[in-house]
Amino acid sequence: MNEHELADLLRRAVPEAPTVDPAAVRERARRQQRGRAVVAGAVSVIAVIAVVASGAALIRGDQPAPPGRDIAGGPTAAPSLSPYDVTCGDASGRREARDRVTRLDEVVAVRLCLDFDPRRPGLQPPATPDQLAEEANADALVHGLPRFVAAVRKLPGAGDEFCTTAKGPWIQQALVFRRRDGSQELVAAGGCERVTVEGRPVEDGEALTRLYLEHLDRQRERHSYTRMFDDEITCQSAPRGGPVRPGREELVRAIACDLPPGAESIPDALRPTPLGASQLAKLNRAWARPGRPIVRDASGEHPCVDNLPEPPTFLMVATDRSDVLQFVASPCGFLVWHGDDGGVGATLPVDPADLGVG
Amino acid sequence: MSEAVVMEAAPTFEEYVALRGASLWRSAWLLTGDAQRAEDLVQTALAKCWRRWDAIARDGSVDGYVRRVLVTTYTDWRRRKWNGEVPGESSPARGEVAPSADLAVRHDVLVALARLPRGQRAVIVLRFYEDLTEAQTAAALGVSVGTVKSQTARALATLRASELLEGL
Repeated sequence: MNEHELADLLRRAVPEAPTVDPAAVRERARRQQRGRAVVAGAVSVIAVIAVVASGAALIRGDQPAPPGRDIAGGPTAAPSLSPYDVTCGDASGRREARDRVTRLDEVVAVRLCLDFDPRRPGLQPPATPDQLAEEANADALVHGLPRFVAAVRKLPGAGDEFCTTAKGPWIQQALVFRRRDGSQELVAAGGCERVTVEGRPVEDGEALTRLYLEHLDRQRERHSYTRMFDDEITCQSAPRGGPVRPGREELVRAIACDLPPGAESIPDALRPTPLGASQLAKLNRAWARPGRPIVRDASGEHPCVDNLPEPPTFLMVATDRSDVLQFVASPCGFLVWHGDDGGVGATLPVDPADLGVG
Repeated sequence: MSEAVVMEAAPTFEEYVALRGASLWRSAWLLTGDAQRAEDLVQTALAKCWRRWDAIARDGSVDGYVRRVLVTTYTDWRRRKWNGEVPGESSPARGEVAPSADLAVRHDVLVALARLPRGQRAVIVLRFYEDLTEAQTAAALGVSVGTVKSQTARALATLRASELLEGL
């Protein structure tokens, strides 16, 4: 079956369409608006003026923004902002990440995107499939923006000690700040680089990103949103995603990868063993009651994870927020999660044999 | 299949729905696999657009905007009721009056599409039914062109592996 045959099949399959009545659509939209206004009125006990204001705000907030142009030149309007409504746009429109955010007022969403600016070192298009998948599935910060904006405004100014706090590797990424009117700014924030916020040079891009991830973590803690994982994970997949906490994100898919003796890298032909529903449930139970993380001593090594006689079995796991994690089997009888950028990880009281894959 | 809206002036909401409502419903039917869900999806998407119609019409890209609202409403995780259902072995879609050969095609196409994740299903409908380019599909779904390419490849591999569509 080629693509033309598929298109023909789709056309043949579609039945006759009914008439769509514009009046019925209008009436539905009016009912929805009235319903929301009633809800707003019911929960507000302060004053009539407050009811009116909240109803108006709800109605305004529910409307999709008018079509605008995003950094990729495509339409940006989202019908309502959920954490997954904010996109980065096509790579070709992201070659001019700036070093400044001109204003923070009326910011309604912030998210991380890949930075394709060719003037910067590192990433150049095409990005790897893992990088693109991470970007496509990332959640944006849409709750608690005033708190985030206030924290950004309090970032230390850039001084003589500029960049001394940057600890992580330099990553070619940028933060997108979207405002209520649909306009947005793309700001390079991948590491030790100057960022100017509302005219004030701040510490560095990494500090800005770290602040963003802290607030995204808070959002994940307080709001129970999810995104169905519809990607593929393989033994070669790289860990990716946002801030994760054991037990908070649910594990929705997992594969076990059993490295052959003596392997020094992951063979392309390594075939994973998918975990079934009962195995996944057992893994989730262990994930929900994590043990202490691995803490290496001054030598930088830990006997449960370093200098192992054989390469360890590991699991690649997807969460209900489309993160991808790696759990490494330790000969000490548990799985080790080394954590995301902002965390210290955990040990999970289960091993591959318990799961029937070791 | 998508028909472009060609109008001298910006269409009123009524004009647009009259002209494009059926086409939107057909795409929604391929996304949801069910006539009533398709109607619900189209009405919900159009209701969202109605509230901002003047601004949408002024912009001149009505089709792109409405299509984007339709597919993002479908792929929105909160709207699980529009998840495609896998038709049973003897459960043709409701309300159809068509030759038996087309009913068989319809059934097999729906079963094959139901095996795809929502994102991949949306890509298939936009690329091969709406006949959009990869860039247009990426804009409609709010993803990168690279994602469209990879999702298309995975979806096609799944459809080809299903054997349901062979020989139709």
